[in-house]
Amino acid sequence: MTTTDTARARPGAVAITLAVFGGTIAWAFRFGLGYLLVPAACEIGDWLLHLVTLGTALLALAALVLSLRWARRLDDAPLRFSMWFGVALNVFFLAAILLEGSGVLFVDACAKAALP
Amino acid sequence: MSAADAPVQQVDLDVLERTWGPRRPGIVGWLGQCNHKAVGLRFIVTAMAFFLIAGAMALVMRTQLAAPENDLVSPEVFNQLFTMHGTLMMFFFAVPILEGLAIYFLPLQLGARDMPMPRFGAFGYWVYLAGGILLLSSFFFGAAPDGGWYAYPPLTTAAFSPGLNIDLWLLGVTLTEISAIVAAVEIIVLIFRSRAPGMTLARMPLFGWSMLATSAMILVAFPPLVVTSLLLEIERKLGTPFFDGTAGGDPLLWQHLFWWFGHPEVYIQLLPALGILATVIPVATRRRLPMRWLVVASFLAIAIVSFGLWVHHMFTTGIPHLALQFFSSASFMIAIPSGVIVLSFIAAFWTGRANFDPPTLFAIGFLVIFVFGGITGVMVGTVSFNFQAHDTYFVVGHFHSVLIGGNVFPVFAGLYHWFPKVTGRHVNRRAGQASFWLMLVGFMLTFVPQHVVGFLGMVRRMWTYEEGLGWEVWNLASSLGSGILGLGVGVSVVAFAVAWRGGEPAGGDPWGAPTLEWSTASPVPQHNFPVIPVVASAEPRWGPLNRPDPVEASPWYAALGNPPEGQRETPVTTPIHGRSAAVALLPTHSLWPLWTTVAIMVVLIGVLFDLWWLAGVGVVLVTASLVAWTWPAGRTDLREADIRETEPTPLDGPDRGRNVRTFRVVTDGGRSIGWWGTVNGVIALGHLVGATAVATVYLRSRTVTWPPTATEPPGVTAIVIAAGLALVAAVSTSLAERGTRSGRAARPVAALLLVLAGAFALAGGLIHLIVTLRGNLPVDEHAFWAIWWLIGATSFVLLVSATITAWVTAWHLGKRDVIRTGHDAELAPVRLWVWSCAVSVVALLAVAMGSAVWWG
Ligand code: HEM
Ligand SMILES: [Cu+2]
Repeated sequence: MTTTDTARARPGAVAITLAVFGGTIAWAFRFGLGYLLVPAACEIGDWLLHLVTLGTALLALAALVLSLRWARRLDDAPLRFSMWFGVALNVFFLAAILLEGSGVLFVDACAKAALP
Repeated sequence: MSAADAPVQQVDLDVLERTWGPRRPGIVGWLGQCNHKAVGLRFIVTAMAFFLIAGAMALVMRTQLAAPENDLVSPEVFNQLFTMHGTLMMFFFAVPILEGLAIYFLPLQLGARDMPMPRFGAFGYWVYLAGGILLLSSFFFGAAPDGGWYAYPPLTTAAFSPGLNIDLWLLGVTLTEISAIVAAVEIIVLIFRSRAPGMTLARMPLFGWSMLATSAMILVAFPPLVVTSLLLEIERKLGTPFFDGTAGGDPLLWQHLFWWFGHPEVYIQLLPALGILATVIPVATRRRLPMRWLVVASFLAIAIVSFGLWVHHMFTTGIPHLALQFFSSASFMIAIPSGVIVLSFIAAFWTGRANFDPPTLFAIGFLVIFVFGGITGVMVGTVSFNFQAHDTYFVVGHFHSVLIGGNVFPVFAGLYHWFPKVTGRHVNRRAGQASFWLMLVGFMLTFVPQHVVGFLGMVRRMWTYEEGLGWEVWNLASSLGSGILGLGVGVSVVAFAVAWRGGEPAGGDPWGAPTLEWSTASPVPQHNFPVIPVVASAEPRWGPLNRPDPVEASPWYAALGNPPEGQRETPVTTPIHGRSAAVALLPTHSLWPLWTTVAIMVVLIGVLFDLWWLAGVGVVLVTASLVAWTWPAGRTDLREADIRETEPTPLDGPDRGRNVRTFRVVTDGGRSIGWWGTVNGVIALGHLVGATAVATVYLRSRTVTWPPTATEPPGVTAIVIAAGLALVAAVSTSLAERGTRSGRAARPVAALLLVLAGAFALAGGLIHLIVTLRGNLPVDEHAFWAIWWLIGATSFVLLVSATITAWVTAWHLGKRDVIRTGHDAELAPVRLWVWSCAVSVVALLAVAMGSAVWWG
């Protein structure tokens, strides 16, 4: 396979990484921030955690849209493969963000207990 | 695009066999083998031995629990039994056996001649063996570890567990962790640089994908356990209160760091097993695996999400409920990719034509047991349920389902599948089937009742129980079942032993399998393949486009001609597309990995028995054997002349547009192998340092009095200067690297710069040593001082390692046969390593000082 047969412009390495792993990265942020900010949310309110969920969900959504578009358009086979791959990962991590984030609606941020 | 009409290489098989065979006769030759088949088989056999030992312990425990108020063993012995059983199974069987299978079969599946760093691989095995010996030796001291497989402090601190037992546990486990990191580094480099020409990443067998995900996980998960084990060992030896809540420490720090490792660990045991099944099931069902790319994505998703689950082992430790809820949801989410993989396997059985050979049966056993364990997993992943079931036999039943279903059954499937490849002989089919049924029935009878008795209130790690609680029948059933399960394992072991010499001969490919390991003879010849195969699809031995026996050499490699006798050459390909890029020379026989391990043992024995002079001798021995190991002797490239004489010819196939002259022969240190190995080593180092930093920040956030007094730590100015020296050392390695790029004349200059770099690093290290030793820090009074001391000691070790690397490389630079003009990359590894050490030292210092002023 030669490199000259890709007529259309290829996205760069950073763009590819973001499209494939954007949802993954967003999830990691939601997870880490969510865990660390629970005590703060107990003091100032749940909206803090909702904000984190919303922001990271939008990020994951953007990565999903991007990977979906490129998966349909690009004519380089290995790259298309990576993009479908990215679509699967982005869908999954978007769902993870929404499921984990929805916990804030049901659980009190100040509740704490340990077994005696 | 086909390479079919390329010139077929004339190979002299005898020369190849001699080149790749053992280099010395007798026991020395045997010990010094570094070939992937020797190392892989050693891993497999040793891990199976540990499996049998740990299994025997389980049977003793089950006998004790068969009847109420039994006194076959004392409570003390029972504690030792479950600890040793759990530890041997988790650390010395489940992970190492998969590493062994990967080291043996992955190079074959990828079409490589050997692992890319054979001596490093041999070292990995010796360290693993040493760890096992250390752990088992505890029986001779009458001090078997008894703190459970996760060794929670404060139980495991010196106050509550005096004696050697926990020390042996900590050091033994640390050694296998190191072995796993070594194997992971090697496997990653193998996957990215040693695939056969034409094998793009997308065409890589699924076992390769699973090992890639697993190895990446090991690099992230294992260093923190090494850190936390060392912290506990230091606490036991020096009284540093890292885990002591009354002196600025926190026992929960251990739980966080342990489970950051521990949860991914169970997926590290699962993913390669799924990869084995993805190898076995297409053969069993005569079809390619459905949804292949979704399976690969699921491997990655599992690998990533598994790092978001660790707190589900700590639901009952008083962490805010909402935070627990996040971990609970993540635990549910991981069921999705696991479900995708299971569905793909089921779809293969549904639409294929399944046989009932032993590997198939064990694959089906996986589906049954793993789905069962997955369902109970979702149950214990639910916070409210977990509060009820925590530490009961329900949990014991659950984790044995996922471990035996998700690890033992797939491993047995793999052993039955690959046995003919290793020995050239078939295992008796009926014996395999009998073993399977015994193991399946035995499993069900052992572990299903445990769920019930858990609901009835029986907690885990119980030595015995009273009559009349309604537990008798369940426990009796469980004990009987474990006997049947043990019998099933025994049948397999006997069948393997008998077949090793006496089994019916199997041809090169008894199964009609799609992957490359079946393209060569069984048992596999020393050189693996007569010629390096060319790959055109994900199932290289199936389908019209592919050759059933891809024996055509890659054209450029064919044009190079046969390697000279005694030269172990392996092609190096590009990471993504698998295009031919270079030829690497692999080292042969070496005893230095073994001596290095022996020297490490000398250090550890010195530490264990407080013989500090012996530990010091050991450190010198370790350094000496590392230098001897990397000594640049006998790595001459015999081939250079050949290459120069080859006429440049335009080539077809995967290498079209290139010519022979553009392929260079790379010895050690080139960007292909050494650089990739170093990058992975740096990733592991980053996680070691990161875990130390996290520990500091965590303790800071949990402690009000940090630092305990207003006095400034001693020698701050000197330490800052030391960090500066480290950076200067790093800069001079960069200059040295740039120097070699501009050709021969610069080589002495580069060597000088490296000598200087080493000197700067050593000076920095010595400053740390002096400040740490002379500061008289009250390390046993407060965790802040303990951390401060720790960071000084770590910086010293890092900087000494930078010194040795720089100086050994400077010595190498003097050797004309290793470094050749025009190669820009030889110094890249040393530059990378010295920079990483320097940056780590600066970062640790910043974290320690930052923690002192933060909220201060
Ligand atoms: C061969 C069949 C096996 C049997 C009959 C068995 C039996 C047992 C028993 C009786 C215990 C003690 C439970 C307690 O008192 O709390 C135990 C604990 C344990 N087992 Fe197994 N086991 C088997 C296989 C395995 C395998 C294959 C693994 C891992 C790969 C494993 C990992 C563990 C672990 C981690 C523990 C917990 C140890 C602790 O509490 O610290 N077991 N097993
Ligand atoms: Cu877990």
